[in-house]
Amino acid sequence: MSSTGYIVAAWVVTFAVVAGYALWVLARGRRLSREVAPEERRWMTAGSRGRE
Amino acid sequence: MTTSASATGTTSGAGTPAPTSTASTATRVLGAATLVGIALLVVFGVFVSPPDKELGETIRILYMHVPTVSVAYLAFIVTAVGSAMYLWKRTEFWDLLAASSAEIGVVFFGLTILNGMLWGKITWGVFWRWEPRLTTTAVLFLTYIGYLAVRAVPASPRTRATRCAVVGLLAVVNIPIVHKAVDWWRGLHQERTIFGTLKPEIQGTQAFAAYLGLGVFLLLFAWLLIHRFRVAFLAERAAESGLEGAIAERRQEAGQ
Amino acid sequence: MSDAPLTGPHDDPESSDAETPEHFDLTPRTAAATSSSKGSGKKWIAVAGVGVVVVALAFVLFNGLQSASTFFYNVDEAVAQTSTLDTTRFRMQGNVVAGSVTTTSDGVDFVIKYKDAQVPVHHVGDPPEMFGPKIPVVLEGAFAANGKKFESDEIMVRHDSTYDEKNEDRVREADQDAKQRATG
Repeated sequence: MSSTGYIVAAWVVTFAVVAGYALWVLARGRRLSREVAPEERRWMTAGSRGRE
Repeated sequence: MTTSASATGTTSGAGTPAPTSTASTATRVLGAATLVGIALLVVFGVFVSPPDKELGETIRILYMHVPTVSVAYLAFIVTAVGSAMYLWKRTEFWDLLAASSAEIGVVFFGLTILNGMLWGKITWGVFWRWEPRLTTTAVLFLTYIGYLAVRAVPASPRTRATRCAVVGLLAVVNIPIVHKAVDWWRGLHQERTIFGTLKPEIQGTQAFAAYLGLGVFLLLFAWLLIHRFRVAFLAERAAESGLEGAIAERRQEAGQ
Repeated sequence: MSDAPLTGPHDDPESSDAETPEHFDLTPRTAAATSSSKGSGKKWIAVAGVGVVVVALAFVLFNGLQSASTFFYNVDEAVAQTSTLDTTRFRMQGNVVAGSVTTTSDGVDFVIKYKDAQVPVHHVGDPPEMFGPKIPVVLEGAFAANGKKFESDEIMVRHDSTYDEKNEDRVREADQDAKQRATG
């Protein structure tokens, strides 16, 4: 592979992996949302609900 | 419960249904900004910026390599802060923040290594050698994979959080070692970061591409972290409701 | 019977455990048994995963301590140890002497220099794209002809020329590099 090939590969692989990971995170979020009661997924306030 | 939920529903107005994904107005705005940033970065990093005098076209790999490693380090530092705060406060928030950040850090650090190998193949002539910077990098990467592996071991949320917090605090010690490896031992890896490289004869668009890359990847990290944190939060609630469901079933039987 | 063992870790004040009647059945069921055995299977896989990572870490650390601590010798150090190194493989760093590079049928011949020490190199294989005169390189190979010659089969180009002026105390002979570079 020429050096241009490696350079293109670096960009393509980076964004492909990031996109793949982002989609996986979103998919997990959608799947889990269905399993959780609506009052548990009001964003903004949800994170502050710490437990002792 | 419905009243309290709609009262606290800041993002979705009262009466609107609860979100069915981890997105909110904030993440949508952030996500749109990130996508615009990525488009700009491709334009400047691949097409507009000139090749470097010393590095040639390979500087374009560094536009990926440097932001990914910066974000990975930031993510691991967030994990360390979350771990320390968990051990102090013992709240779920810090544990989930630490874990979410660690996973993102591993993804970005893996990309850093991949980009670095491609750059090394062009510049050094080899993908990999067990030289100090690369060896310590491998140790750092494996340590955080270890963190995720420890997290995957089933345990009560408290036990798991404590174990992970200890690993998360120990692992971050690797970062200064990786950083100083080029000064402490002889190796192939260059001594300074891209910013050190560019400073003496910094060129407008090259510097712009470098800083733009950093900014874009920081936005990306923020977007991913919010989503990933919400996923972690939902996973905890789902695990609880699974357990509560089983208890409710028994309770129902008992009531009969 | 208390429900504490079941809900111990989930001491959520909002959960409805507080209203749990005292008399409901908490003994494991067949379904529960299957799920718990599945859970322990998952546990063992996860523990094995941790084990694999720990072994990999140990391997990398062992490997790293051996190889990374002295990744290369400079030419002068290697020359001083000619008899000890004998024909063992090692890495040697120096600058390619300008005008010494000649292409051969199986690779390149050149002279590598560091401080006052010089060694002629016979390299087998294609040199990397960035290889050229005055460039600092790390070679992999061994001495031949009692240290009069170095047989190399891997050339690695050290890229760091830009920062020479800032790193005069580096292991590389900075001023020498700079002098060499000033002419090119």
